[in-house]
Amino acid sequence: MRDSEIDRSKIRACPRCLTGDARVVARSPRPGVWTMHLCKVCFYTWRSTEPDYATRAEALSPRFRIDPSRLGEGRAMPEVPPLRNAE
Amino acid sequence: MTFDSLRDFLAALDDNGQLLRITNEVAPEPDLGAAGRAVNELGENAPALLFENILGFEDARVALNVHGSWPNNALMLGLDKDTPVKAQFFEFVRRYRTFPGAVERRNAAPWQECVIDRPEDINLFELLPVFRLNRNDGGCFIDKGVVVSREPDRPDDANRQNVGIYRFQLKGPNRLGIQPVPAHDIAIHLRQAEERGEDLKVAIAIGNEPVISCVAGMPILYDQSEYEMAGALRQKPYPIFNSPYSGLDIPWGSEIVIEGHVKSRVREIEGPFGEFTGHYSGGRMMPVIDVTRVSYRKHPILESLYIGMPWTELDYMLAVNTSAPIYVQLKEQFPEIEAVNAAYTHGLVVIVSTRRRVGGFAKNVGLRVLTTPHGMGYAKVVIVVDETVDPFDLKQVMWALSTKFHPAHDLIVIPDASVLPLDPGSSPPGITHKIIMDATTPISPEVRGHYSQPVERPAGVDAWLTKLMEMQRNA
Repeated sequence: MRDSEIDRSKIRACPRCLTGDARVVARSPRPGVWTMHLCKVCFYTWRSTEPDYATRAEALSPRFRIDPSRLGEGRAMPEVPPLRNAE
Repeated sequence: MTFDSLRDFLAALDDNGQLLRITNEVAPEPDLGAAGRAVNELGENAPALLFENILGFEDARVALNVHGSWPNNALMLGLDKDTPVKAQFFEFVRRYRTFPGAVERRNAAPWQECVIDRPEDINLFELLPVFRLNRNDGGCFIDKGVVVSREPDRPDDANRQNVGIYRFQLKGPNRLGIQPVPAHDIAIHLRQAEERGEDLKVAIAIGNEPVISCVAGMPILYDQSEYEMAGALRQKPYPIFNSPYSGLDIPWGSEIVIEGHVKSRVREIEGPFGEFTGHYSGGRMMPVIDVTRVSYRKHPILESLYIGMPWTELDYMLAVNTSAPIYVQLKEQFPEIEAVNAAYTHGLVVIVSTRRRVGGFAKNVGLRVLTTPHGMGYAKVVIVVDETVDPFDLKQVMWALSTKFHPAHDLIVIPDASVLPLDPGSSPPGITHKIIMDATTPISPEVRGHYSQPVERPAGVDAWLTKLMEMQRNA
């Protein structure tokens, strides 16, 4: 499916960061087998056919949850260098 | 024997009993990750796996564990599959020393067969049978593609073109996260591009003959061309094709080529991903790639590797190719060096065997390991042993440590040295103490210990060995 075909009405919660900003980004080439979901906040993806530990918030390991309010606090790797022409 | 494409090499693995084809339908998760782990647990002679029926795909194929055993690595070099590791190491070094090898520029490539050239038509999740490898990975990763980039300040210098293996997280239909570890060459290219405020063009080539993947994961010098190194290791010109789209030199035989650019001065959350340290990398703010073109052979094979708690395919792939450059670089100053084993966790542990010039010599050798290009980002633990100890035989290395190493005299600790940030023990990430353990026999003027009476093998051992082996065979 193309980006323009993404059905924005079918937004659901991300099992990792729990924001309600995840949507279907792909469908199986053989129709009707699986859908791939993407969270627009933390970029977590999951396939509808995966085990619960990857698809359901309550089954996802608590150690791997992400707090969306602290997303920007992670260390940049590599760090962004100064612009050369910036004096 | 050399190979120009992954398909050629898979056929050779098949001929040598080193390929298993899985034709029954498998689910992308958890089957592919589970099988990739399981094949690593088969031991040192494990085969490659080719999956030909993936749930939800029409004609997708996935290859795993292509480099994941000593026989597969021997076959990559065109050697007999039973070649011992130490012999593979010395043959690898011999060819490495013929660098630069030749490069053959071809006029067309098989991967031009199918092209998607409008970014909005690209959906990598549907095109490629990508999958979550370990259960807490942040998504699907491409973990065995070789990435080509050029130095923005000298775009015409082919020697400064880099071909490296870095991980990519699929973060949208045509959007990837990339992990350019600061110690690696692509980070130099990205830094220059970002200082200039420009995007960095990249091409990601997936599904290759095995030598370029090996070279891409090899710590060669910044201005050494990976394609010329591949030509040297093959002892035959390496075939490449210059992409008219990106201007980058790309392996001729690749299955899939993804072209695009790293967006300048952008970082966003990436990961986590189960890494070669046996730990997840944690989520970090990393650069992003906009994918603008995808080319591929008909019925492409997505090559991937299982990565996680060692030993995995990665450890086999990076064993000899990490050891050889360190050996050659040490040997330049110290001709006494006998062999180097940097096979453990990509060289976080390095074992060197050497003859001793003077008392205290091994400590100089150990310090030099830390200042090699690879040692700067790895080599947290360096063990130096006598030339009579085979560094590839841990039983011998442990004997040397048990009996030759004296903690009061033979331990050097270097505080707060650089290491790759993925080392889970580093604190802050990227900084660690390093140690050198001298497990060589002290010689004059370092006179200490009771080492003058080693137990020798009784006379006639070799004859008895032959006799007993024959009896065992005939029993």
